[in-house]
Amino acid sequence: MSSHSPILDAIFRHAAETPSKPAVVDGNVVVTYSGLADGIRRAASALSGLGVRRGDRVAISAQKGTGYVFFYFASQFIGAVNVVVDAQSSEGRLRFVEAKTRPVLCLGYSSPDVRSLGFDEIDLSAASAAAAPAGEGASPDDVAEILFTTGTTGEPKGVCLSHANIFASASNINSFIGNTADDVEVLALPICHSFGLGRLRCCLVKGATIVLLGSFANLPLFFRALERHQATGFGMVPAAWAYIRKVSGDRIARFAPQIRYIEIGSAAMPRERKEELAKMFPNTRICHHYGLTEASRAAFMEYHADATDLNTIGREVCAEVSIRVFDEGGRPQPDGTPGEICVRGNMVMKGYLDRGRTDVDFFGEYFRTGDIGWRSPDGRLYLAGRKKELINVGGRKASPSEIEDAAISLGVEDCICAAAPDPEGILGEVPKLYILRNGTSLSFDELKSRLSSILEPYKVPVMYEWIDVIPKTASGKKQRLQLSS
Amino acid sequence: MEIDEEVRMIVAGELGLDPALVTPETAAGECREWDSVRMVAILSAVQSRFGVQFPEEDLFDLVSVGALADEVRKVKSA
Repeated sequence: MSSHSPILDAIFRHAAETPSKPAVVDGNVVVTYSGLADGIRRAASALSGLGVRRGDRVAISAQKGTGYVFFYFASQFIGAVNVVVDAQSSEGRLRFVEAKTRPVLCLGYSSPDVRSLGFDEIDLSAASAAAAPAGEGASPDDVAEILFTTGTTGEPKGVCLSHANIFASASNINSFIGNTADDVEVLALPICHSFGLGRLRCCLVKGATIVLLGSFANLPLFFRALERHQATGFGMVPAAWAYIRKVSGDRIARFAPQIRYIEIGSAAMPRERKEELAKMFPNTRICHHYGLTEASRAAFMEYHADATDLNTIGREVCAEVSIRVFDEGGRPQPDGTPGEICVRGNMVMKGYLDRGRTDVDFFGEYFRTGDIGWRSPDGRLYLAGRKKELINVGGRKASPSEIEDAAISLGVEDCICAAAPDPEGILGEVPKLYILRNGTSLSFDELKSRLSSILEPYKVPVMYEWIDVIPKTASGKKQRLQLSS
Repeated sequence: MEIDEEVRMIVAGELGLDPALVTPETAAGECREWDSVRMVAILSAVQSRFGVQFPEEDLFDLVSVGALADEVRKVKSA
């Protein structure tokens, strides 16, 4: 019988059909599909015992580990809503998210305002799997999770995704990549964002095995995991590939024969990097996605199939998804003419938190991405330049206005933040802060040090420069794109 | 300040951690804050502080505070 959560239905089906197959590996801990289903039910029972009910929101800190996996799915099981937060979020960001979502419980981190518990503070062995309440009355169209995205200006927006959305997203991605239940994937991506969370769901929906790993920072660990688990796939952002090449040269090539797929995304990859990766992995499906948290993922290209045209972002991920290019009035643009890329499909969010679906965010059923691009007559899509001022720091999006506000809060008279190429050649772009000349008595080093205490690490500007005039429009809006390079 | 202590302080600073929590065994990937972005910043800060350039073939193994300090000693004495 199907429930409100098709993802959980799939996991429980695998638990019945392949109970002893490893589902999640975390260090020396191996959780089988049977163990995963049991852990989810016990965690659901524990959440219920803590008073969490259908429709309640649970703020959950995305820490890689089995505790997180159990509770993430347990919330869904009882029809509660996960508010997924980055374990490295600043205190300010956490309070903002809590104020916006009013969670009944915080899991994996401590909030001064909300009841909080660490994953290991809840004794799952004492909880009864049989007593787990299975979200009675919940529907696949109910919100399953809220992820916050970085807006160019103003506050971060809460993206509301339904149970149906996140299942559709996983199914769409799997259909493009072609991964199977036999695959073993190493997950070194963060799991607070759409990309890493998506990989977790894709593997578990398929009945495959996912191996949790802290990050790509320790490449000997990553390589050992590929070897020990005979991994057949992994996901990474372009910055991770630049890092792998810088730190380990071509050592990763020895794994090419066993790697059946690699998913890449969250940022663009320079053409020469794509060629290098394709050459090193000649028989691997190297799938680069285009998408946003609001529409994850919309399009894919594959490095070998699209070898003659590596600049494309590809085509729709599957037949259930439609991408169109509209002009500013919402009228379709002919092939070759740039416009806003808009996406319709089963994975497109229900709407933003407290805002729903508005004409600002949608043209009819089509979600407006804010990205400018065009389509060629053969159906391939291309991005054209930069419309958004967001800075893409190795896949993580930083809002220039948030960084400027942080500097101004430290007494800087005025400043403007823009994207600059990463001098280390790893992250793609990094924030650079231009400060109005004589607008602060702090040295650049002092400013950087103080910004480090109030901003998440990737948002702290890497470069600083004096500027005589802050470029602004007649209405006073800062012209950040003029300074972006 | 001796090399081990300075490297430990640089790593703690870059990771935004209390130096008391950082030991020679503290390693990338095993400590949540120490991701690849921080790793690049740490490599850059350590090389800059000691005025050295780590050989590219050595970078792969420089995954802990202790390994970084050992590398500084090795490169300085070369």
